[in-house]
Amino acid sequence: MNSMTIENHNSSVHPSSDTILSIEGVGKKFGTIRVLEGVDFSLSSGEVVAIIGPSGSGKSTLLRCINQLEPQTEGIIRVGDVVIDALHAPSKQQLSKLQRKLGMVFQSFNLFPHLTVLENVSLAQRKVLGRSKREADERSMQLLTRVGLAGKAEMYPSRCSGGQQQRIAISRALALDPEIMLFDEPTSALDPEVGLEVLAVMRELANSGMTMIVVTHEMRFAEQVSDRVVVMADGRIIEEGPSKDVMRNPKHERVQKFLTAVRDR
Amino acid sequence: METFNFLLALLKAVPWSLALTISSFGIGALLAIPLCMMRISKRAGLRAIALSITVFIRSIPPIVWLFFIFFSFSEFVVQLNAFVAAMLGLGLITAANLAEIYRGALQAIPAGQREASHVLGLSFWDRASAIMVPQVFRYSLPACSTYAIGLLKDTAIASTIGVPEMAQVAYQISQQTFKGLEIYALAGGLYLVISFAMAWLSRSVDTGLRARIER
Repeated sequence: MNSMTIENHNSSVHPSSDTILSIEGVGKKFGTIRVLEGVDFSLSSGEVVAIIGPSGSGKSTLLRCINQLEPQTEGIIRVGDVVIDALHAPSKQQLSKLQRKLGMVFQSFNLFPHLTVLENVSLAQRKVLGRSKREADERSMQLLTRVGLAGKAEMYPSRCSGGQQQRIAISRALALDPEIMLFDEPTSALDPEVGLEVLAVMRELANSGMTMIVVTHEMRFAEQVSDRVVVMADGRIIEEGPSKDVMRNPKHERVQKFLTAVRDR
Repeated sequence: METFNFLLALLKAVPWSLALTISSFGIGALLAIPLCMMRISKRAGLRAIALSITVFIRSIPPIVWLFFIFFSFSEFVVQLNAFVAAMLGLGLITAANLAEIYRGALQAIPAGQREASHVLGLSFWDRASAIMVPQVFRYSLPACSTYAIGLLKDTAIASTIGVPEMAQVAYQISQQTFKGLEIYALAGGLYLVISFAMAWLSRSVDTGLRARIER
């Protein structure tokens, strides 16, 4: 971890060799509505970044641009050796290569209701990675055990609580061995209490060295778990830095206001 | 004794009614897949074509379709037997209706699942076979079985082009014996029994599927 933090320092100036994601001048327009503008951002291997900011600031859209659920309309996104330029529509091979590097966890879990918990986690391992049923199920059980849900393997998602469903969704994404995990407000649809069990899993994941981008309203998580915090407003990054600095001594007035508002709630 | 003979004659016609229902439903269920896919295509042209086909098929009464297919094939292509003509005609109408039912069922699947299968990297075929089709089946089952029961009753119009199904047999016996009331009451009773059986079957499949996800 130590060597990583040293290199992190370099990466803010020039992308270093362990930069696994870089975003240059990314913008996104839906018709005439602009939701992202001139976003530059890079991520080093093993880093955990929290993206915070008011609703409608473009946080989720940025995340969805990274995995091309929403192709950006301007700029370049690089993930490892995959380069997606807004000027050229990406090929199918590029997209599938990109998807393999990225895991995504949604606010609304999006589990497949007609498949058991185990089948949910195993499906893509078999179809996409070509693992045998035994290999896939073994890996799934390993992950479900890790998130404390081995006992639910044969149940259907509708029998699981929201927090359990989200932990299953995390297992489903991890099962494909992604290089980067993207979390899109993973606890926003959950009761605060239930959210905690999901945050605990994410904290454990961060400690294990997983590279993560987390769009969140959980300020405590942003401050304690992430290495770096990015604050967005009106489709731009307005402040960025080591999490303790940003969360305790924000420079930008807008960020100060936002943090005060969130904390006073 | 006479009533018993009538019933026997009608029962002999039951396989024709059932065969026509099942085969035209089968054709329709298959043809409805490409039609539904065109209906929800990203290409406006395909969508427009599919919509026109659907409206065209549904705007013409089934009996007209049956006569049209029966006579036009016999005139221009090959001599078609009445059963095949009825099967094609009813299959076509079924396709137009089931395509709409499938479309509704597809739209009932939350968009988030499509996104999830995208980011998991599932291919089009994997998405279709493992995610969409099983759920479309589940969502559309009640509407499809209601349609199938309607179709069973619509097979009666095949009597007009000479398919020896229940309505045709009932008509002939009533012409020969002048006991129309009795014959048609029996035929009605038989349709009722088969409809109930179909409804019961779809009900139990549906509850079975539901019970599974509740597990």
